[in-house]
Amino acid sequence: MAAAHPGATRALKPARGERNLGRLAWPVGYVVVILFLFVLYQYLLPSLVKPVSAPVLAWLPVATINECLMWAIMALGLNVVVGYAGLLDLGYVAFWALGGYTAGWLMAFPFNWTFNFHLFSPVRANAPGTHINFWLVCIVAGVLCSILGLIIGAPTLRLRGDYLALVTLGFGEVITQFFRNSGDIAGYNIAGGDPGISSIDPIGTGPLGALGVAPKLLTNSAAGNIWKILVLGLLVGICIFISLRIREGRLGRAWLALREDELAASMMGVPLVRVKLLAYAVGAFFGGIGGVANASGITTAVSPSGFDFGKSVLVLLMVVLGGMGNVWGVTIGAFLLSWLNSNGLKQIGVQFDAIAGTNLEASLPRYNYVILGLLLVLMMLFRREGLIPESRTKALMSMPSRTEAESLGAESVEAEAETDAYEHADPDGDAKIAAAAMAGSGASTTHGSPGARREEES
Amino acid sequence: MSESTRGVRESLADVTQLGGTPNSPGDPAGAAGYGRPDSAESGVDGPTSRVVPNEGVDPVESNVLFADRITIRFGGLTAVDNVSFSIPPRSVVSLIGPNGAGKTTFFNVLTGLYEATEGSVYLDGKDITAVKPHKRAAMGLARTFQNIRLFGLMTAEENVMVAMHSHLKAGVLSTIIKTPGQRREEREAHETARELLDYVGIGKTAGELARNLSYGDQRRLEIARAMALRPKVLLLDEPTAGMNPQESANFNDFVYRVRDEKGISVLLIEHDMSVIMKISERITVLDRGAMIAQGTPDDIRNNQQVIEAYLGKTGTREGKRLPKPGSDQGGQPVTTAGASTNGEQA
Repeated sequence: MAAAHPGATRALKPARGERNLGRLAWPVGYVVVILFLFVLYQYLLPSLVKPVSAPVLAWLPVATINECLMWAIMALGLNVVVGYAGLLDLGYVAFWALGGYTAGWLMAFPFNWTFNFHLFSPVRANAPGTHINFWLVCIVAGVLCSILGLIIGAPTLRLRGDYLALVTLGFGEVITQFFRNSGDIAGYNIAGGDPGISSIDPIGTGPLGALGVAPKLLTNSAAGNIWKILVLGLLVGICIFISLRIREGRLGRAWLALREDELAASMMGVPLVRVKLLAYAVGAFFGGIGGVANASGITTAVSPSGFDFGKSVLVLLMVVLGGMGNVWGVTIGAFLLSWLNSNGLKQIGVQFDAIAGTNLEASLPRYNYVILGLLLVLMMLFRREGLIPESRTKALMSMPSRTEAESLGAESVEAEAETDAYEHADPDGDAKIAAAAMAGSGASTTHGSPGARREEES
Repeated sequence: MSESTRGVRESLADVTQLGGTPNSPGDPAGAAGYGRPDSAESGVDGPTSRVVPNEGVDPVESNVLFADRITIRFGGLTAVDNVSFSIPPRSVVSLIGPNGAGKTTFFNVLTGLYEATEGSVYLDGKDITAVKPHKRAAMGLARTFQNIRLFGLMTAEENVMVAMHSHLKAGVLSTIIKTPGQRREEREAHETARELLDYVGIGKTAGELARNLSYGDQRRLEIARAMALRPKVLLLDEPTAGMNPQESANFNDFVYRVRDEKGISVLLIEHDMSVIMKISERITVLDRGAMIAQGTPDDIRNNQQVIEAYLGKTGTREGKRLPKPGSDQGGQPVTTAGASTNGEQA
């Protein structure tokens, strides 16, 4: 997909061929990667000598891999909303929070009034509280978040661009504040308030645990973390699979059309309301699963302070940095950023300390958002399309479209449409317009051609 | 303006492009010349009356599209004033008028982008006045755009397939699982898209991004995309803008093919008279929101009101305008064009 093709704008056909090949190859490749990680940490590293295994464990501890996988679920979800449908969502953390709290409600003993209920849960049968199987909770949280997505989506349907982003930003804050104050709502404790809900059940391994192959509960122990690679890897794989499949179908095409030109899409029979709401719902579904994965697999607790605006931005950064609309780019972006955020910066600090004798190990991670922000600025300056761009976006960045160039030339005299014909006959003129479009598209949106405006947005 | 000062009065067919309306809105002499026909039913006078849909036949039932006494007001401005308009089955009709005449506004009422202040629209006998644009499209009312509005970052084939959205059934789950039904549907959609691209003559470009197509091919792709809706009526908004004479001629043949082979009625909006005169079976002329004439190309060519609307009256008004030739005229066409463009994009 990322193969450098000389005629970038004409490259879609070969790229498609590669994608067809990739369609068969990616599940195999993905499974191999996840299994390799598992085998590496489970069997290879312990048997290797320390000088070899220690750096690997220091740079990429198992816990970090799990975090990366969890964030990949989130990024893939936001990619549906932002990358596919082009609806900027700054409140995506809301779904992460609701997913986490769903896990809190269904996989813990949060409040005294909770009745005891067990459903395929790995915890001992006499434990108080509600204990439902991780996979079932994933589905429940996904559905709940989809509904929340519809609720959030509905009022934003008439909004575009900046206004849409502001409303979603508001919703993200609303949800967080709701949970922050949920300790006492009309006398009822709904979600534990500021401290949140803790000791959420870890992921169970079911038959594998019963057979003694895997630990029964995947706690944050060394063995549990290694097995979590498989569980979270499976979830990410499912999300990638769904993303790719939906993208190819009727709905995916409608999303792309919506991203490009809402009005034209509606004039071509695409029901905007339905299609937009579906984008929110599918994105939120992923977000809910990510929330459960985080609450049950990583933190084992949820509290409002974890669901701040920064997290929404972080996920958005993953999508933008990786390459909006490209599933693989987004996954890579999620891995890279969550690695930097959780362990990478610290390790870089440690290495730097060893050489220069400074004390960056503690301070560098505190500057994580500064560094991520710088990274974003650099990306926007030098590689706006992301690490692994969608082939379409790449075409957009590399050259102005023909109509765009022509409209810049003919815009002021659009009434005299024949101007177009004259300009066509004059190759030098065409080149000049193209050059002007290049300069213009980067610098300003005031040219008013819809194409140029879209370019700025994406 | 400059045309009229040069005394171009031979035939409207020779006049391909005209600037804005020749008289400013405040011109009392001009306004007097454009009295709106009183009969809302026909809105025609003199020689044109014989092409009015057969008397006694219900216009709602006998026409594939029928707009009944449409009025649109934007605040205090009446953009379209009591215009009735019909498209018979398997016909090529057109709507013309100088810039700012309300053509595009009227067009947008037909497609559902604007809500008519008064009046109703019927498609195939069904009242669609309150129907949303995307539903109208699904019901068989397809359009193209004055300024091409393709999905530039999608391939030509995908562009066409987007328009099939309303005809495809696959839901989210069946798409994820790829049920046999969904596979078959997708395969058929691909085939149909290819056929349509071949039909408009750009089959080779199926895999190209729409933004990389040439101007003419983009126009064709827009039509192929509109036809993917399986329309009953195809509304073409200035389809020949930017085409050279050869392309225009080919376009005429194409429109007839669409009508005869696919049984689709075509409505053209143009201000390029030469195209319209050759192609249309019936022409409706709007000026400043009112219908001033309706009839066959010959009728329209000889209609005094139409000639005046396009070229301006000779005599008193012309005399008034002459003192300042071309002093501020250069800007006028641009502003009118801007207004109509904005209206289209709103």
